[in-house]
Amino acid sequence: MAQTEVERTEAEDPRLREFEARIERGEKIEADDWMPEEYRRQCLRLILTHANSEIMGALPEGEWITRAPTLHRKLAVLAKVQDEIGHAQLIYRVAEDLAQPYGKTREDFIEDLVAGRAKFHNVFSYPAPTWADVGVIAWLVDGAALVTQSSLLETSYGPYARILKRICAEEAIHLKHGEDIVLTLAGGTEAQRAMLQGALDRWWRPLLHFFGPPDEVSPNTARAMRWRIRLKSNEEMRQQFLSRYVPKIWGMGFTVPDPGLRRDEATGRWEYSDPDWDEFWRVVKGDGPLTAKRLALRRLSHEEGRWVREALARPKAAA
Amino acid sequence: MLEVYEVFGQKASGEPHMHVGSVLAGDRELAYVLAKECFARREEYVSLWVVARRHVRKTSPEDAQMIPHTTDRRYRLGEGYRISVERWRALQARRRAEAAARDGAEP
Repeated sequence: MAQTEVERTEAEDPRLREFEARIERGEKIEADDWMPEEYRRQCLRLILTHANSEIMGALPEGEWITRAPTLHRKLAVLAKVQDEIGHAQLIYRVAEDLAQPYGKTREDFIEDLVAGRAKFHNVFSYPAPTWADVGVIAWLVDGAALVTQSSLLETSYGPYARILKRICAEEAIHLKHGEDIVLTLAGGTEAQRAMLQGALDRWWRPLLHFFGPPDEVSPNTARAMRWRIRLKSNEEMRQQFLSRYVPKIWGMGFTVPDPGLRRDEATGRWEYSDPDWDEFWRVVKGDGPLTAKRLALRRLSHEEGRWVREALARPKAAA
Repeated sequence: MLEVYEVFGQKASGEPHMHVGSVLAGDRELAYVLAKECFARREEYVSLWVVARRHVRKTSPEDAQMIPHTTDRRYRLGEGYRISVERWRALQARRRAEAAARDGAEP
């Protein structure tokens, strides 16, 4: 019996060959182009994790706006929080176009997030108890995010690649802001230096976790690389991060809480102690120290802002 | 009802408006406000345009296949006239040769 259109698998689809040839030629895939379902699904998962992380990433720093030590610092933190929310706006827009066949909108994405059904980066489930934590977040968490996001600038999905250029430029400013806070503390009193060392100790493990476990060679990852959705492996990005920041931390006269950390001079690779991947999995599955509290806060803002969104959606009727 | 508005930004007077992204908004005025918030917060623009996506006639993926032309269209492109450099050179050489011949012929 002849195969029907529905029965024909994507693997046999001649459009798939053309799609892969386009990627091979370095062409960008646009929202209206034909793409395999799996490509759409994987892009969407990557993009939504990024958007959710921008929203959740604003929360630990938002807690510090009122407590920042000077007016200048308050303004800088305020602007950074505004940027993170702005990034989420841009990325959700790209996700909405990609999710169009599923009929999903920003409202659905946020509902998924506040209901705990969506993933976001592990680092935003940890507390920021001191001002030094704000510096370490802006310098090293944004530094880690920039390693990931820069690696995606060449992603094959055009709308995401374009919006990432804008986002990376702003993240680079956040990094300078964080480095400035860290350098101020590092050049300060003993109490300030002790506060900075405490923050580095707290954030080191979550930062190692940030890039995800060393790459299991899953068929999903292999396909994401072949389709150029992702261009670097988790471990490649972690190595890049370590090369960029460990010498700076040591150079400032500070330490990281891993006696096993060292660079193998022969291979140029960093060796580090096992950072307890069970903790990583617990956190990304929703059981981090502050996951529930931060999601509750996000849910509260979502509910309290509902009337504004509704008013904005039909301004003529309201007038 | 929310709808998608495409956003175009001009970085300096005299430059073209370039597509920068899109926003989701209830009407054109709010789309403009959101575009300012999303795109002109740090980057400087002298002008922004917003236009409802449904008003944009876009090249479909099928049309895009037609863009690489198979017919010879060098007559439309600057590179089709690169031969002019050669022609200038040849013409000047010929005139020099003619002048030399003329001078040589004179007593």
